[in-house]
Amino acid sequence: MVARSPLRETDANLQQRPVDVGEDGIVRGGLVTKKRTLERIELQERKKCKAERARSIEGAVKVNKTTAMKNIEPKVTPSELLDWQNNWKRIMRRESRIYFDTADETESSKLVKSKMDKRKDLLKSGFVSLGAQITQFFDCNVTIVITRRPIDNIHLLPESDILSRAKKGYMKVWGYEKAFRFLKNLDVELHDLEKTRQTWMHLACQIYCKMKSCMVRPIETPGLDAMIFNYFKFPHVYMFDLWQTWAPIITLEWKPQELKDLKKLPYPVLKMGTFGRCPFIGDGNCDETSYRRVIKRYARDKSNKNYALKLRRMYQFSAQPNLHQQELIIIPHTCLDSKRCYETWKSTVSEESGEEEQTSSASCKESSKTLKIRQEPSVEVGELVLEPKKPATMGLARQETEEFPDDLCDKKKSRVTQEIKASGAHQSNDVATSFGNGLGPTTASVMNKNLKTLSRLVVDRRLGAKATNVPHGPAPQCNESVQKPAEINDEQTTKKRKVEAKVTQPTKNEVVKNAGYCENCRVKYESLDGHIVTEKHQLFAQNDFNFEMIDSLIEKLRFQF
Amino acid sequence: MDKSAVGAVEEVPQDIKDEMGRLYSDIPGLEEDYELIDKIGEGTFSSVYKAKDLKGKICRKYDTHFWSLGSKYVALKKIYVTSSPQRIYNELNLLYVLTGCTRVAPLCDATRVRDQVIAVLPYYPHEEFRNFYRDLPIKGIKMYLWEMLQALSFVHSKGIIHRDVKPTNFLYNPELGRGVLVDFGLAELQVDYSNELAEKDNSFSMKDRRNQEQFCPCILRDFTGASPHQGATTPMVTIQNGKVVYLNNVNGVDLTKGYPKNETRRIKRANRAGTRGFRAPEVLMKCGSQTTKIDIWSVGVILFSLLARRFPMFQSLDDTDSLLELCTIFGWKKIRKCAALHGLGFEVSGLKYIKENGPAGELKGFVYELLEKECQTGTLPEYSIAFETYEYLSQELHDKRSIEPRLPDVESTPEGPEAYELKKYQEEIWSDHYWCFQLLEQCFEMDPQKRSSANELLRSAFFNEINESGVYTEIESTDEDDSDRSDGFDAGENDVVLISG
Repeated sequence: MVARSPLRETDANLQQRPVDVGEDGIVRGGLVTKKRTLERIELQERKKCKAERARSIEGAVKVNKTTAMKNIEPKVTPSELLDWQNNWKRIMRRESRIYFDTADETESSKLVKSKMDKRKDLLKSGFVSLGAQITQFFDCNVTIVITRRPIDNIHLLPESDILSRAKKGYMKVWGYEKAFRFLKNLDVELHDLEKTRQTWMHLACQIYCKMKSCMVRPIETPGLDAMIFNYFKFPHVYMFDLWQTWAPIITLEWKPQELKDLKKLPYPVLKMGTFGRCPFIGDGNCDETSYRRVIKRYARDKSNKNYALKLRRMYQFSAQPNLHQQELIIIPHTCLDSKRCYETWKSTVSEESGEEEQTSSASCKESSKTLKIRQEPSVEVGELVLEPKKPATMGLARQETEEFPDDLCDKKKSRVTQEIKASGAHQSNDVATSFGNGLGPTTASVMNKNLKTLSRLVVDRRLGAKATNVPHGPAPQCNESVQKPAEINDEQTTKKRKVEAKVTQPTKNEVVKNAGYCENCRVKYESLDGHIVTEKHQLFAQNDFNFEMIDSLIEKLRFQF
Repeated sequence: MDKSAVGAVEEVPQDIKDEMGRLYSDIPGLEEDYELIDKIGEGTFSSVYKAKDLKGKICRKYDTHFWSLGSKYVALKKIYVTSSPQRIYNELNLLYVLTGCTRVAPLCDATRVRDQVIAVLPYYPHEEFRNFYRDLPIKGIKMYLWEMLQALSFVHSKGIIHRDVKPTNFLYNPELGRGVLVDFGLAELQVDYSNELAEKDNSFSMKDRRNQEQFCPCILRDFTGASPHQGATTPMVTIQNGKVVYLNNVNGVDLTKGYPKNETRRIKRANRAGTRGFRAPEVLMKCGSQTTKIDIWSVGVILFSLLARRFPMFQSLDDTDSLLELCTIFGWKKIRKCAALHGLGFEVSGLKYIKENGPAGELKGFVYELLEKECQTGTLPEYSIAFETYEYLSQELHDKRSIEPRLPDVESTPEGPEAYELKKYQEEIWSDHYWCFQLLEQCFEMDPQKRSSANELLRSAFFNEINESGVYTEIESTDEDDSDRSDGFDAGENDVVLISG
């Protein structure tokens, strides 16, 4: 039998050389060897590639077992040990690439396996703390392979096996036991490491400080930092507690390719926009200078003029609204306005009349309207726009309602006031879970109704509910607007609504699914109507005790009468 | 009057009729007191119906609250059964406490059947914000703000934070010049931090405080305004028991440049309720010691919309986006300084459109840019009132030589006595704009302690004409201002001293 002396493994970088073990059993060559090794490392820095091969030659020394047991361990002097440690630490930092064999012992149970996985993680952290590189994939640059398979009979394994390839490539092949022994000899305190991993942030930075100083003081350990920290490498946003008591509030990082497309940046950008739109949304695809939009806006502004001038008159001289008619004072302006835009277009169009041109995309789409203008240039625009009624059919209707962000030209989309929704008493930042009525405990921000409808549709689909009929009624505005050509005046709105009401009648009976969160039952539900009849909810609802406070308040109120 | 007028003409759709029918059957006895007319609103936690007060009890008792004499209409607020009784009670109770100001909707009556709670409030014939925000003249903006701040002054004097100030929760009637604050569903009582701080209990160290969610370093500042940790990026050092401990830069581990992969620290929670785009920076930063000043920020956002004629002003898909939107407008430097007040570090790097400073000319410059965009594209009507603001800003920002208002040099500019009239008008409007922008800046003060209170804003020169007329003043005497000031912290805690540098 042959035993291996742990210290002997320092010879890794050397050709196997004769070691003279004296009669007294003291390893004489040891010290010299290690010193030489240090020198060699310096050399290796210059010719690294070559050295890597040379060093890989297995240098375990065979010694008589009894000698090893009896003599070697106790005879290692502290200075020898220190040299050995420093030597290996250098090797670890400079050129070690460690690969963990993924194959398992064939008959290992799940329990054993998970145990081994834990040990693997521990080993990994140990090696990383020494600055060694751990590679995901096996290649010829690996210097140490660590396996949980027995390593005694590698020669029996097929040639394609990683372990036999490793042997062939003069890599070290270590078992877990050996790897642990190795780390122990290097004073890496794995249990501390593990503990630190677990309670790391509770003990905060002081622990880390201590750990670093007691563990590997003389050497800088950038590897450990990289293991424990995500350092920002790319564009990022980071908001954190200066005392480090709380988890960071924002940690966001984008890869350069995510920021490449300047038109689709993943963070808020000022797009400015016009026509009252949110400057962070901008005009989108809507070209407000196009013929169609100019006409539409002009008509809108015209219908709005009386109200706007009324407001001007009321608040002309005092903050207290004055309803009496008074002379309107208007400071002249030099800017472009919707009327001028309209007049410019009108003159362009009349100039071009006669030629059957289809210049801009606008006139293309609205050829019918353009023609109209040419024939009767004096006709009021309001009427013009109203022109395409029923016969204009689908194609046009769809164009009319092209979804532009926040279009003031579209009359109120719904008769019931919709608002940007408030979020509840949510306390987390997790927007992804925004759901239904917003009472859910984890949701953070608010969705507007359109978004909500959208997500509801998605949810419905996902649930496989028969949401084939898009729900109608007051909630889903986006669908409503698809059917509704732009309405210019109220009269038409009313008319239109009646027509629409008829159209949508058949689907009305289908109850709009109303997903949300019930604070009382603490559950998410897919349908409000479905939820409130559940036994749990009813039990809660029936129990007057739950509403004691409200009742006493109502009592107080009633008392006033 | 869009609402009421249309409501009279329009036929109520069948589904809403059905809904109202169901409400009658759900609440026995409702039919005797109220006649449901239409559904007028739908919120996150409730639906609101317009109804006729059949017996006139409520209209008589709360007649001062109603905007028109002899009004018969009330609003029935049906609170969704999925809200917890605590939440419902909180809202109703706050409304009850707040009865007594004509600018806050009082709780007139309430009823409960099983889990269904109905609150009865006066009906206010108001105009939707969307319909007037582009056309309201500066003096109209003044009245709007006056009413809103009056309401908030009252609410804040009771120590209540509304938390959800936004146009939909402030019903305004431009023709009457009256407004009313509604929806206290998210409102809460402000915690009195001054008491907590007054207790100089040494057993309660700074370190312990840092672990409390309610605590935020922003309240531990003295009057000089010197923050104990202004250098957000410089490494933090504390001295504990005579030992120097680095907080941010531990032997090369720079916690300002990265974060642990395996986060074991707790995630700080704070009340963040409110509406996206209207939330103050301290809310977004999860400040544990929020005050009534968060409502003032929201007022600023509304004023911003009115001046720039844009609504909504912020898109804010989530909290992070909200903060980044603030960065694009104010510059990240200001946001970082603000973060430092709340004990937070803030780093933005490599984002092309998020710069150290906001647009040139700050808020005014930004409003100008927004208006300019519309003036170039021609999206404002020829009668638009926004040209006044645009003209004012272009003189203020780009023509510093002449302080005097100048009329634009165009043919249509009148001469003679007419010109004099015009000049006088312009001077008045210009001075309104000047004070109004100052007010805007006061609302957008990053430091909640320095941000003006509703009462302070009401004393702004912007409101001089209303204050002088005396008709509209109804401020209840409050000592809110004083209590705000008195929560300065006496740095008498010796166990931890913070040094920045």
